[in-house]
Amino acid sequence: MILDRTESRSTWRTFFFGLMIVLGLATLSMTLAYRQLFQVEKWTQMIAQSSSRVVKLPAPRGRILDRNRVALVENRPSYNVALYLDEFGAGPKPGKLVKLVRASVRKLEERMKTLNMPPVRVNDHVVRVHYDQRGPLPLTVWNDLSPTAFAAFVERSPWMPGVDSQVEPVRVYPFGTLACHILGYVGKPETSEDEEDENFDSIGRRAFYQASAVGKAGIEKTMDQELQGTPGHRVIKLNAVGFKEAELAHVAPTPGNDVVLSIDWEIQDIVKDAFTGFRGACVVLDPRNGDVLAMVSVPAFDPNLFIPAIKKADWRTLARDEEKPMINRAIQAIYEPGSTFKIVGTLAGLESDQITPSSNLECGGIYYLGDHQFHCWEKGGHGDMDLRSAITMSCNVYFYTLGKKLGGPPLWNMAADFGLGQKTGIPLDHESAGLVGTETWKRATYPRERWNPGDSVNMVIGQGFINVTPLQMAVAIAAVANGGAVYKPRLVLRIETPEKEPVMEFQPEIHNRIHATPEHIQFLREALLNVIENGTGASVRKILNGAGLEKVKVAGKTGSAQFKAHDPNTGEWSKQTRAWMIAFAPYDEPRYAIALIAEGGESGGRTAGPIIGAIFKKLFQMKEHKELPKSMAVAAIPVSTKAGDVEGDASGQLLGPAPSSSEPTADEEDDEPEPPPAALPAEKVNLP
Amino acid sequence: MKTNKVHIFLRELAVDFRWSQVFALVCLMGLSVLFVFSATYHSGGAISDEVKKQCAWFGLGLMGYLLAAMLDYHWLCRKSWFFYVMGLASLLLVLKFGQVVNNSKSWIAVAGYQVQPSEFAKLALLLALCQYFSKQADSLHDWRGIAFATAMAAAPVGLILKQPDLGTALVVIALFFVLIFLAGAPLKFFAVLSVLGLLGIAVVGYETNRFMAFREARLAGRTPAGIKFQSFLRLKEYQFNRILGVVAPDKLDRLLEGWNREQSLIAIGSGGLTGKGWTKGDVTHGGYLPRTVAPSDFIFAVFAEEAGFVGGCVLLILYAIILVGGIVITQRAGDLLGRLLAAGATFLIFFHIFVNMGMTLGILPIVGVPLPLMSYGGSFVLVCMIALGLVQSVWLHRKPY
Repeated sequence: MILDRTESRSTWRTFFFGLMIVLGLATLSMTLAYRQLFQVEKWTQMIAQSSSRVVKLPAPRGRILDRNRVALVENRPSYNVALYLDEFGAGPKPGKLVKLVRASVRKLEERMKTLNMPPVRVNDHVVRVHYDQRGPLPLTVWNDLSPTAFAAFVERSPWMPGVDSQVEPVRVYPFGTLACHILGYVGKPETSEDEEDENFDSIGRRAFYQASAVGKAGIEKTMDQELQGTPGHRVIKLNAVGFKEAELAHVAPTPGNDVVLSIDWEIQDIVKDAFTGFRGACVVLDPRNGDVLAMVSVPAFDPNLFIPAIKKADWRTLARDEEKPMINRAIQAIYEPGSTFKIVGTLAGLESDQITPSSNLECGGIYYLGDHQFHCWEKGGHGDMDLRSAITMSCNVYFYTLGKKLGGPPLWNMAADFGLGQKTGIPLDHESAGLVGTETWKRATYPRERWNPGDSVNMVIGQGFINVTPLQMAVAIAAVANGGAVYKPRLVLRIETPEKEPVMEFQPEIHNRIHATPEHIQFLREALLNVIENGTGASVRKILNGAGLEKVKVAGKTGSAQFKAHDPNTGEWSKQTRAWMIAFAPYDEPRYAIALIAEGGESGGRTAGPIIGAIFKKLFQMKEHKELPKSMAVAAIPVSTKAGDVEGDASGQLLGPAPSSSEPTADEEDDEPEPPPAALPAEKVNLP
Repeated sequence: MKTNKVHIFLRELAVDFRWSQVFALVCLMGLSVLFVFSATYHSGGAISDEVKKQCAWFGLGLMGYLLAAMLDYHWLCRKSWFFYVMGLASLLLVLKFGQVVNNSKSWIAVAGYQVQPSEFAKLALLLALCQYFSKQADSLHDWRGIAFATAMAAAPVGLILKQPDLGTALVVIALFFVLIFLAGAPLKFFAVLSVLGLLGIAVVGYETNRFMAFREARLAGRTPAGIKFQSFLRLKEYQFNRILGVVAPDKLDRLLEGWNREQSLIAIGSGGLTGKGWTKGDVTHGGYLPRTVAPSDFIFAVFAEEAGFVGGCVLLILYAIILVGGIVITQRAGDLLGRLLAAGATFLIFFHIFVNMGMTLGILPIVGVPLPLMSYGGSFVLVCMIALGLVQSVWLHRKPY
């Protein structure tokens, strides 16, 4: 065939065509050279990045022990069934993985059908997210199986790729509700910026970690740093389907430290058992060093509900409970102290020389300030009263008079001396400071008003602009017991390693000393002894006598704070009493200082008294306390200065049990002061 | 006497045969078997099914190669209408009965083997267009001729897009332009075409940009996850993601959309000058390079990781032998038909090489285009070898008998 005229024209086209191919090949070879000769290091480095992964090893959380090293919080194994996503062999394609997982889960459910297992919570989305974010970590299908169910799983599921059992330590609170408000609970950490960063290590490799539980409340929260320990990590070389090829590094986790509390679980248990039928709180301190021996808030909750994760329904119940079981009433709730505040008034009066122990007054049942009437709880009046009998009988009129004489400042100062109106600094969250209303405070709160005599008259009997927490009152009565030292409550004795090597010791700490002479304090102590022996707190004496503990001398003060409660259901206002009692014992060498409040009780003497009586009865029946010191029998010994627990001199000439100047006609008080003209809304309290 | 004639014919053939092409072909077949073996090595030492199937296809391919080389291409092209109709029919069949793999209906099972009709349709179209242009060389000077040729190409392209298989469709479109260029279509046409092409690139660029904004909005949670990106180009999100892989790889999630590209680059880049040794590539054998695509579309990444730059050069030289040989044959072809056929077949091979290596090297978006004579995959092996046979045939039958 003869080539036609297109031949000449086509030559350059063919040339052009050839050139294109040659240029194409040149481009490819140059790119190849660039990638393989100039970028070798870059890409080689990326191999290391994608094939090794950092897996964090959570550290076992430290335990929380009571003062005798009885574990209040520890760890137990939880048996789980988990999916190891990387072993499904789906490669880096999440779509395929999701399908494989779906099939496996269905098979698992089929096999475990008869066992009444909870439904599997693994869905496609969960699988994707888990694979993306926590690749080599197990994805739990069933959490915390019972031993039978777990055994059944092991039996019935002969090897399935990617499905395996997993044992994981979880928190357990062996005493259930006991001390729940102190211990708190743990939960999953909330995702924050920091944690996102933690997902990558220094050279940008993805790090995988099992979110270890963090403290959400109580000691679990405040001591979280100590309890957490230091997580370890493994650097593992993986192939793309996640099979471990080699372990490049293994840094073992350091277990968290144990926290030793000042709590004595037996005392905690005694208080918990004795305190029934009311909402409220009770704190037992050791007045010699401020140790918190027990701290109970009623009602309680079971922190085990939060382990491993709280169910929605349980949370709803807890959160919506009208009685607010999650609140630690001992430190979070504030109450008017009622007549227990008279200890402050007494010392303020004595120190400012406005009264002496022998100042007397006729109680006619009503105190007039201007045209306002203040009532004594004894309608007919107590008759002739001196200071001691006024305390013993909790005579309001006597104290109204004192309050009027004193005015605000001495009361404020003495209250501040006792640590009222300030946080005690106990290592627990959400502590309330309470309130000691002052001139400045009142002007700031009610701009048109000033501090008036009525406010002082009200305050001196613990109503009105005065709010305290039960813990603050416990610290206050402990100060009276030990001769004037206001301790910072010590809840944590020490932090130690799991091998019991001390890491940190917390020494007793005196926060303040009451500005009162030893004589005045001793006078108050005697009067308080009288309250229990002959006065409004005689219910305690009765119980102790009934248990053969006549020799145990208890001193204390009752109180019945009035408030109006609003029922959100009926919309009605009702009058309620908060029954207070503060006490310490044994009188001569006090080891226990107690503050107790029962919401909705009848009165301090009738409601709080029997509870405190029951507590003391059991406390002194406890084995190690059965043998009371012989000196107990002798009245005139100095307040304990043992073991340097109280600094300075707390001596002074102490008198024996004071004879009461007036015989009480009734063995129980019923102090019902007039509701204050103005009072602060306290916890769940509203005044019209 | 007759046997003697055949004997002489064969001896002449043997002398005339372009042995360089055969040499390169045999070398590539050897490399292909070796590295398909390596890419599928994980299944534990034993020779994998893929290797066996590849060998079988090479056997079949060799027969196809020899047959195509022996047969006079004039005769073949005269029958091209038959192949063309068969090609269209098979494309229709696959749309009706095909199997969906990776979201596209490109495969059909024939006697237990997976066959890709679109590959054969490429060849059929090549033959048909060559025949048309050589017989109607002057027709390209008026628009009706161009329109007719365009329609011929548009039919299979439309059916392939319907599968959808964008990669193969692009190959066919490129082939069409190369053929009408070589057949002598007026330059005005190409001027218009380049303007349209630039416009197209601008539009795709604009849409990609819009997609990027959409992606960011979704990642930031401003767009609900269920809403898909709508483009009038009818491109899917994954296709935009692949474009982004080239222009803005940082924008992609390395573990999802960016995975294949990055692992391919890691495999190639870490191969270095001399490579890691046969079956010793840890990116491939660790399974980072997805095992489903390693022996097929990403065989070059496996090869470059294990054989290094040196190996890559050897491979490129082998391809150069075939391609440059093809260009030479194009120039020395006996007639327009031969020139078009040799050029078209050579271009088919070249375009696949360029697109495939370009995407594994990270300079082109990832499209499912295999590497000629290396990638595992039956139909394509067969088609490539037949194409080479056609080039050989153009050479052998260049003189009129």
